[in-house]
Amino acid sequence: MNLFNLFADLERVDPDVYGRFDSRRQVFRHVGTAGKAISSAMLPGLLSGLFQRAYGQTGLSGDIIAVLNLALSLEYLEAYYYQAALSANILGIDDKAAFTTILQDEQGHIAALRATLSTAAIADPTPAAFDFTAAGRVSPAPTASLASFLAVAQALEDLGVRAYKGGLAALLPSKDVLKIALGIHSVEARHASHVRTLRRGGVGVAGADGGGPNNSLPKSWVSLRENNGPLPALTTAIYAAGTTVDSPAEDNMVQVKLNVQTNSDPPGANLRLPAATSEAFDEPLDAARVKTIALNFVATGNPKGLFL
Amino acid sequence: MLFSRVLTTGSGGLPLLAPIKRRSFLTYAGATTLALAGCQKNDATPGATDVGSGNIGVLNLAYALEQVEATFYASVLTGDYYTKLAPASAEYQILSDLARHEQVHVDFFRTILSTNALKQLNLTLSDTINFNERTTPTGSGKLGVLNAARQLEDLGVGLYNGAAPFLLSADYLTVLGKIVSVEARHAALLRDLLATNGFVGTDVVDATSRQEISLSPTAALAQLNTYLAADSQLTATKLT
Repeated sequence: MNLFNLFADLERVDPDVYGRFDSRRQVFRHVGTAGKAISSAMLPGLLSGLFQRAYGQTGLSGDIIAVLNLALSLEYLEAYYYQAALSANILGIDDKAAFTTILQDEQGHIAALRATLSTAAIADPTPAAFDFTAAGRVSPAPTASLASFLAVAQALEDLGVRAYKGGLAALLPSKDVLKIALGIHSVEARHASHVRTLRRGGVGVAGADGGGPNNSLPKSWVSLRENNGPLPALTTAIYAAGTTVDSPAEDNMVQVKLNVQTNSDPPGANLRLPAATSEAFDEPLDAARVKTIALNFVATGNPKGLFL
Repeated sequence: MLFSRVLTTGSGGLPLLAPIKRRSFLTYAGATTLALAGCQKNDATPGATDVGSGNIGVLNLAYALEQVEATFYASVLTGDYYTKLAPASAEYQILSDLARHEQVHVDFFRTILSTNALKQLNLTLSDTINFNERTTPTGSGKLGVLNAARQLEDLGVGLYNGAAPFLLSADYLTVLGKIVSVEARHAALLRDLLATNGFVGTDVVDATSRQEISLSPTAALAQLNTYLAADSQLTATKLT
């Protein structure tokens, strides 16, 4: 075995190879624990340990792994949800195209998160892990009714946007992971916007402050608390405050201690409106509350142990 | 100076703001020591102003974008296209909301940046945008209202996503997250208005990774500068 050639070859395909070892100080730590001259007999074990740490393991902190696995669980929930709806044949031509794209986006997000988490990723929960009727509380079922389908889709997308936002701060120490989360977060927001547009009847229909009666006229952005959302038993919590001070309700008007409503003078002849001010900022949601909400859509007995 | 401990120097010589608790933010924002990290004339690009480094650089970049967006929508509200819409129509409601949101954003950034804020930028919007037309007329060199809005909102999403990793404070990162998703909701609706199922597209979402295509601060400014007058050009030499 020619070690120098091995590293030279590796460098050719992975310019960061030395950084991978050095950044984690694994080379020195590993050699240090051996504490003696390296014999040729030890080399295979030494090398495999080294590469395991550099490439096999994630090198991510427990906090970051927790954020990413929660995100991955939500992506599976979304992906299998859209897969079920597309199979059920309840969508017209345009909607079928839109939700096929959205499904492919979620599948791409799953792949990105799995690649980042590596061996720390949860197992694919498969569709059997979920109950998209939320134990019968969504009736008719989302696979039997376009209105039900869009209502749950709005719930999942808005929840996803809040969940990713709630996880951002924990990712600050790892810029590469943060970039991935940001790149997914705004795509989820685009999905949410589109689903909301569909729910109010399309781009030609005006939305209402707070989403209108029974959230039947949602704007493409989150307005106040959305009158508790399209399925109040399941969606009130999606627009309400979470369990931490960093997760205010969606009608929040205070950002970094600044009242953003009184701080601003609206353009034209507009008045300062609470709805418009709340719409200008989406709010994060903490992991504990995200899990509580997502558990509504887990199959009886939670066979895959999701969102715990 | 009482608050000088806030400002330290990070590795690489970049000014560094320690994480600031929300409670104390406004106190700190007024502290003059922060001005050290603020914007200044950029000697390398004569006439251009550099947005600065670290938290203040990112916040000023956002402030510049929001100045353009807010001014754009304020101009939309006085143009023929908007003023001839029925007040109950969908597009009247949409453009009114967009104008309000962006005004809230720009006022937010101006206040939190306090003495570190960029100056009021001079814009050249009417050189490239026709505020009397809904969409770009065939053969016209000027963008219609919806086309220009879409361009600005997509730019905003890419700018925020590309700039946020340069932040040093979790609180600011979260605030930028709160705004970028709203910009993405705006962008998606404008794109849906212009084309069926336009809400995502390979020009904004990578076809393989399915993640938003982010813009580095320099790449974002290359676009944003096209809306800025010669005396208001910006650089982001410390956000690289």
